[in-house]
Amino acid sequence: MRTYVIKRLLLMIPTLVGMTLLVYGIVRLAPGDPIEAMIRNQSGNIDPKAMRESADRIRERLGLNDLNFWGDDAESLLPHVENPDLAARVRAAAQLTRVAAARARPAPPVELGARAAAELKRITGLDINQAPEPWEAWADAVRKILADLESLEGDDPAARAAAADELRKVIGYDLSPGARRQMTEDARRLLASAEPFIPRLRSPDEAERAQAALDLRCSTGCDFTADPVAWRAWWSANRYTFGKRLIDPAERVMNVFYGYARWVGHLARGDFGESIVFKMPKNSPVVDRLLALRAWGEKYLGLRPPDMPAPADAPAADGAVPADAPAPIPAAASQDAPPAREETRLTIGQRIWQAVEDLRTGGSRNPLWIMADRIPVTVTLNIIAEALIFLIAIPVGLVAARHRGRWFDRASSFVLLALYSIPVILAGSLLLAFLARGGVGWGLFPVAGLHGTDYEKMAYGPYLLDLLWHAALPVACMVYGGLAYLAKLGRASLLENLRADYVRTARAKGLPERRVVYVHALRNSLLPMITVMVLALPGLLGGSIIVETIFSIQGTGLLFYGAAQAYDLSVLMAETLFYGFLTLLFLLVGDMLYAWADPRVRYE
Amino acid sequence: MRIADCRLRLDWRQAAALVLAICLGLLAARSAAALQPPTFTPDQMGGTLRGNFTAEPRTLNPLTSKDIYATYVHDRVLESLIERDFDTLQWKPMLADRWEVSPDGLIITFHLDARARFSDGKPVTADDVVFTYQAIVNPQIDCRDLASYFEYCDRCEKADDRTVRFVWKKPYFKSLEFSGIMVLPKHLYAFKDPKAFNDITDKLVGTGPYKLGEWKTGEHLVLERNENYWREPVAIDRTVFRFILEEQASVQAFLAGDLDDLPLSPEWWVKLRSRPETLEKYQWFRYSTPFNGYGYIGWNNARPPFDDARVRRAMTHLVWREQLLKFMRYDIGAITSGPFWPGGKQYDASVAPLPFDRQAARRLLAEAGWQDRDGDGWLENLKGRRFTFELAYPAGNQETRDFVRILREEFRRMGIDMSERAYTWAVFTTKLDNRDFDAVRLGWGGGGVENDPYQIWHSSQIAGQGSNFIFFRSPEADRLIELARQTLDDEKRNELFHRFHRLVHQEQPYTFLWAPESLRAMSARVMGARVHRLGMDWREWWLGKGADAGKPAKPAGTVAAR
Repeated sequence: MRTYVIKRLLLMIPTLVGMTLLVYGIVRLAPGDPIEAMIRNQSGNIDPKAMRESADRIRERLGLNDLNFWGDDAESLLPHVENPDLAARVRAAAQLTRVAAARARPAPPVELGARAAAELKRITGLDINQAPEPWEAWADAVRKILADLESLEGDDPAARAAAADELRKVIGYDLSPGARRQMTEDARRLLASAEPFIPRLRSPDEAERAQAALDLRCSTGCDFTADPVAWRAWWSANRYTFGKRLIDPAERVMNVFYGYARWVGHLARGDFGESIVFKMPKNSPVVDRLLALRAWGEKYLGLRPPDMPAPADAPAADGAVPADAPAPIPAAASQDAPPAREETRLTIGQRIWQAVEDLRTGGSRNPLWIMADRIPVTVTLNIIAEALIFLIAIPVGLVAARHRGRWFDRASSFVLLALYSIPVILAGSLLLAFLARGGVGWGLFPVAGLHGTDYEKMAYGPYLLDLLWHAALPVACMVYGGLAYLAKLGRASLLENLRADYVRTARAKGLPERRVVYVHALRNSLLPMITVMVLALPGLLGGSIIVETIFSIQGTGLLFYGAAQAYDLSVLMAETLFYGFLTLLFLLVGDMLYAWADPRVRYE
Repeated sequence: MRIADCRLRLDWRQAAALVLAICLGLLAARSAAALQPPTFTPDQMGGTLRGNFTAEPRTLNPLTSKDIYATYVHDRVLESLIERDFDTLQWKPMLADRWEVSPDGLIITFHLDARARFSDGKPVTADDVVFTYQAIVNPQIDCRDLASYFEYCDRCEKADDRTVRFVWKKPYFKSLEFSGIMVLPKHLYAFKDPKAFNDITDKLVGTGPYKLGEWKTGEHLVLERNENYWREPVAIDRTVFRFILEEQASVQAFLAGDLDDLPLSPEWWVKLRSRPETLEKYQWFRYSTPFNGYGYIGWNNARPPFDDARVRRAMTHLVWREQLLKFMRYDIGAITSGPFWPGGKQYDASVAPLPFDRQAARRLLAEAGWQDRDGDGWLENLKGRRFTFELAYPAGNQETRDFVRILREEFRRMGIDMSERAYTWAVFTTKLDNRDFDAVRLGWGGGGVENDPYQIWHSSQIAGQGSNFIFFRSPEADRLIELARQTLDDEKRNELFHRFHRLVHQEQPYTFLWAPESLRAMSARVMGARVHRLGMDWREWWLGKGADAGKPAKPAGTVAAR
């Protein structure tokens, strides 16, 4: 048995790895950039430069600024764009354009600053925007790439090898067939949109040149320039792009593995990252409990804030605090930055004290704390719901089984099936409309939330009643479906047991019917129900998004849903890990429970 | 000299001047009185107003927050240098009691009101204004969208303790509006590390009539009266905002008497007003504001077939906006023909939206070369390519989906093969950035009393993921926009905007749909609620008690509209 348990525990590890890798891969490969989507969602019409800067800052703050796996090529070319020789700068910019066109989509949106353009014109006499040479060089480069790509498909092996060499020199690595096709298409498209305009850049008419330059800029997205500032801006805009702008599918997949490895590295250090959208608020009940714990710790364990010296005498064995120990300093005003402290000299107690203090003043974006804030709500509701399900389902199943075929059995069967068929959304809306205040019918229950106003000031009794009153409708929504399932299960299980041999033996021995049913048969028939309940426990912690939305409850369901919508990787990974682990653990516990309860079951 | 001899002798000119002077004096006194905030009698003071937010704001940081509900809170706790009058739309003094704009429009000087002070009692000084400006333009503070307004602002400097000057680099008609920033107290918000400022979520202190009270996540947010308010006090003591996420639940809370103020969707507006007992019991407001924006269909002007203006005009003729508005939004909204607020001066009211006209559409399409050449029921061009396109829209909105499906039927009748596809928001924004679409169904929110069309309509905003994602390129429009930006004379500038409006109407780069209207229900205890040109002003409300309570302020069933 022990080996079995150990084997199961060891098997958890690859399962968890697979689970988290799958979730990570889906989020990374899904289209769309979550940070920019989030900013745009909140701000609407926003200046793109401002949005990119905001996005960069958020990525940096949240640690999402990992470079693309092969980001070094552009990094190495960038310094050449600052070469004092204009021709060299133009060449370097041409190369960067090629690299960028191959790697990232869209093609580099480089804008020539007015200042840079004026400066270049002053130095070279060239109006760089309208200068035909850089554009012609660029078109030549793209044509060459196109020719190389086409000869890669040709018959002559020597030509193919030469073309592959050329491409490798320009791009830096071998392209997969898919990427080759994509690049061919892109190159053709770019040339087609640009070629009509390039000859017009040589027109003697100033207006026509200006129009051609404008058209080139608009149709290709390249404003051909050797302005290093603009290139650096483009690079900073594209480097932290979550790998989503990479074209080559193989690159994107490799990026996923690379990113996953980094995440595991962070995890090993205990760093779960930061949530993009959620935060544990400062006034969360979890923080209040932690403060109470800390106060207890100060009294009995000698926890001290970092600025405070530990008292000269260790606290006495019975936990009394020495009389001359100064009282703990109240927290610094939240407005000031936390006082600088030397990390090396903090004891564990001081670290704990400071950690709680940070939570008290600033809340937290750590996914673990966010979950800790939401789980008690969900757990409370689900415990009440599970208890109710059990309390109602067992008697119903019992009576239905004992009086099989009679009116109660048929009626309860019908009612339970009807309840099971009602979708949760409909049930929620109906309960809200008929039983909640302000609806049709009796307005007995509140409409939203789990607490009335001023709930902290209530004594414990009224607080409990208030909570139950608010929880009545959400719990009703959660109960009715599980009730049907468990009642039917109980009935079937009891029926099976009542037909068994040992029941016949018991009756033959002369035991009273009541003892036979309630003591012997019932106990055995409870087993499958308990197993079902144990296996359902991790699911409870996942919460129900529908019930929480309808009744405005801040539970884990809304957390999951919001994190998935916002591609909030930190929260999703923490949740997957946590719930995955719990599910596997409870599966093991359920199996062990079964083995303990039923001696016939044995594991190898 | 005896008193009886001192008779006033005036000839007719002097008498006229005197009468004129008296009239002007009375007029000034009356308008000065009109500019004063409403005063309340002692029995009108007090009470708690209960409102609702359908989404809890993530942060109340005055600069970095981007939530719309956070702006409702900021509106009540912070004040700006100047504000618009709710009826005349002219600029009124707020924290600044007078201001001057230099003739070239580059230097704007504000003189702060000597009485102005923050909720902790400290006076407002020029240092506070300069601090706020510098925080906004600080690249490390997470408010790049606000900072982009000040792209052409050179500096903000203190002239003396109560005088502050904004110096702009170019004349810009919105300089005054942007310079009138909401002022933050330097002594409470000053920071060494910008990260500390960015991390602030619930510290909100200003000069406004309310101050931030309790904010219990998931439950409610309370605003308490600012005892140190430097102007006439508002009547209502507290405002409580609850966080009821679901509309049905919020409607029921309102009907049960737990909420006083409820924004409504058109469905619920019609549903609730169809019952006579509900109609009589509450107050109903329907109005349009410059902040409601407008909905549109954006055609990709760089991709055939929509690169031809005739095709775009034909498409507009095929969208029966009047019927759609009636059946999908119960006629609540106003059809627009241009990118400005229909109630404002930039909008050219003489431009009539194109009517629904299948014949005109057919004619325009034929002119552009689209006809059914092979009798298969679909239009083809000269090269034989069928008229087919994809209309992309963001997923999640039932109404948009129905709208798109109705359009598909109408286009099919004309022989146009439209396919429709919903995308999640993150993917949709990527498509917009890459300009990878044929047509999109979208909307712009906000706007304001005076709108600068540069970001959406100027050709420089096509590249670089700017907001001109439909490739609208017209040198004439560019010229009008650039000229209008620098024209400080209101009439000349609005004339330029009218010409721009007519140009856009001619080109039809968007098919403009409608500007939505705001719908609101209020309980009978809220008195003094009225609709102004700019919307509703919560500062003039008070809560009825005693004999007033229970009776709606208006006769039953009246809808107060603009």
